[in-house]
Amino acid sequence: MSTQKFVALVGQPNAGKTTLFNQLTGLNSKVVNYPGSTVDIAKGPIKENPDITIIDLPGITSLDPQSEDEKITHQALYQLNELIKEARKEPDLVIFVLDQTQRSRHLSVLKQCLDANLNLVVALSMTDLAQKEQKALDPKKLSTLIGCPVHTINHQNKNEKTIINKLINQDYFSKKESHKTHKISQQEIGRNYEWAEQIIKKTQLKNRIENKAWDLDALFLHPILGPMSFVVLMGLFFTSIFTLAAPLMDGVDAFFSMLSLQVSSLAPSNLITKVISEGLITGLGGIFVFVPQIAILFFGLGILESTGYLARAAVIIDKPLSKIGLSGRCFLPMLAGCACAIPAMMAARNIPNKWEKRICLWIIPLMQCSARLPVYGLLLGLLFFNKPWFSGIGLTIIYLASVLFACLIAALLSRGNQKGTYFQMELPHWRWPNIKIILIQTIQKTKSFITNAGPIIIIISIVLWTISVFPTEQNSIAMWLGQWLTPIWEPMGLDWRVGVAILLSFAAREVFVSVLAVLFTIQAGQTSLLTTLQQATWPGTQAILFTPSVIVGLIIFYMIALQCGATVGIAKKEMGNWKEPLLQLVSYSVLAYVLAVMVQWVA
Amino acid sequence: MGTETKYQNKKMTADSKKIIKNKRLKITDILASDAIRNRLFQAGFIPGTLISLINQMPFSGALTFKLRGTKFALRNEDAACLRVEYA
Repeated sequence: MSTQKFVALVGQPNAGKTTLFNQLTGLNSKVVNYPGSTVDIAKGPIKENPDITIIDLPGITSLDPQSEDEKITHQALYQLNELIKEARKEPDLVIFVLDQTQRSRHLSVLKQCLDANLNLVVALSMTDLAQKEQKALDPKKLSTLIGCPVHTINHQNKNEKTIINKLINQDYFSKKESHKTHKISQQEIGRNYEWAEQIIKKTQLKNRIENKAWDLDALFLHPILGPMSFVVLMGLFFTSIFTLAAPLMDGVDAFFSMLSLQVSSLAPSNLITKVISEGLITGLGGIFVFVPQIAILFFGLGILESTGYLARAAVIIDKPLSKIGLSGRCFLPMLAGCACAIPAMMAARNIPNKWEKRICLWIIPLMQCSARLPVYGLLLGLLFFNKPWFSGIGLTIIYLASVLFACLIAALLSRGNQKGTYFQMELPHWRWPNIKIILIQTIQKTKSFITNAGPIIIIISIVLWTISVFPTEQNSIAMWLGQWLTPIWEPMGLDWRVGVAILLSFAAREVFVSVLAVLFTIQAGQTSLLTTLQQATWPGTQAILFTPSVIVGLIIFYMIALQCGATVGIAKKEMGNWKEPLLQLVSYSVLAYVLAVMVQWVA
Repeated sequence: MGTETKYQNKKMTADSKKIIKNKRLKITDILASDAIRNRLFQAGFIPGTLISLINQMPFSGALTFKLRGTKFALRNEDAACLRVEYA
């Protein structure tokens, strides 16, 4: 029997659970599950007492779980031992975080928790704002009415110790058994709201009137200015992700290339050195090269989310998304998918509608992630040699075409959805982002990206490195495979060398560029990769290899094919089976191939 | 009570384009399937509740309502299930 105690934080979305969690744990936490926007389960010991662990659970709108993350919360309340081995069946204490500015809705859920006989302590949050809006409640009166401890917490309060002492009193821990919730009827919901209104009447604090909290919805939810500012903000968001990340990514890339060179020049030249310098270090570089962009993406999303803007964005984009069987809630995962499919698929977890979530998981790999950029950079450079302006237009067309294609796939898939979609979303208050907390969360999420996606990428890159150098580099398994598969590449207008590059880029797309660099410079020995490729001919002939139609075919192939081992791994986790992600892998890759071949026929 | 009588007894759906923004409305009924009713109930849209319309996105897009101290967005189709009158 362990002495470890577990305290769960429960409440509606946006109640202030995470802020309280950070105060209680002093940001000394671990993400137990996968990263994603608000669907993480963070756990951490409270300050100065490692025996008590706090668990931050996803927000719930009812104890009768509807969405995936509500189910996780439900599971944590009734089968905590399945989530954390050392825990008892139920948390030793449940802290219900109640946002006083949204008191009737939150009280009605509190009523459900009281009815379920959970071992509760109530933390009244958003006190400053509630006082401004004259909505603050009297904790003492509330405590006597509901029969469990109630404390007011103030997020501006720097003294975490008092908060800990207040909320996590050893006397509160009990071994009482709660009873499982049943299906909650409409009558019951209605009664709970009535109960809430009664409680508010009895516990309302009288306050002086102050200025109203700021409200930006007049601008951001304006029928005309709202959508306009949405386009501007998203444009700024993406350009800043790419422009800020680009030099950092180049830096990481240069660092790992240098490291690889250093190791191979300093260490004795043998197989182990080669495995380390070319397999392992290059593999590690393949993960870390995405770290700047993913970190900036998480940071940007953190700011957009904590100010309350993401909810407004969902309201604005809901109408167009409803046309293709999705809803405003799918916006965040799709947005993240434009940087990397892995965090995007994780963020899809808080879409309550199963079909929408599934469609979303299907179309995320069609969003143009950053790994495709180096490939497009090379191919567009070949297509529009020395005309960077044209390349820019080309890239825009690629993005627009891929969004259109994703919409087409979504519309097709949504025909299987008989129940239809819906959209309802609570809009949090506008708030100033807490940069320190967002930074720390960015670091945590980036870390778990590395630990989750990292091993898959390393294993795949070592395997691919092995088949590309054995038995010898000039005559490797990969080359043999590439040549053997020539009948597949020929209809695309490609020779076996490009075929090998495509084959190896199923680990990660950007590998395409480095493999081409290896295969083509060996044979031509020229200065830049671009000029080498431009002058490349079919082996033994004068026929130019990279004709415009071949390049366009390749671009289309890379737009659609699912060439990312890590995405398949995450898709398996999120879809809950192997069948669908494998179907996704095969169908997108075959479709990409067929379209690329069709381009050659037309040309 | 008794003020602005010209608005009284005018029943309409909450997606009506005629609704005056930021004016208090009372939900009189929810005419929808059980599943939709359940969703709206959970969100706090219950007959008798006071709400007000803040804004609607163009082309019959999502509507944002103020209710019970917060803002809540609904799709046009869902809002059409709410019968309201000026309170």
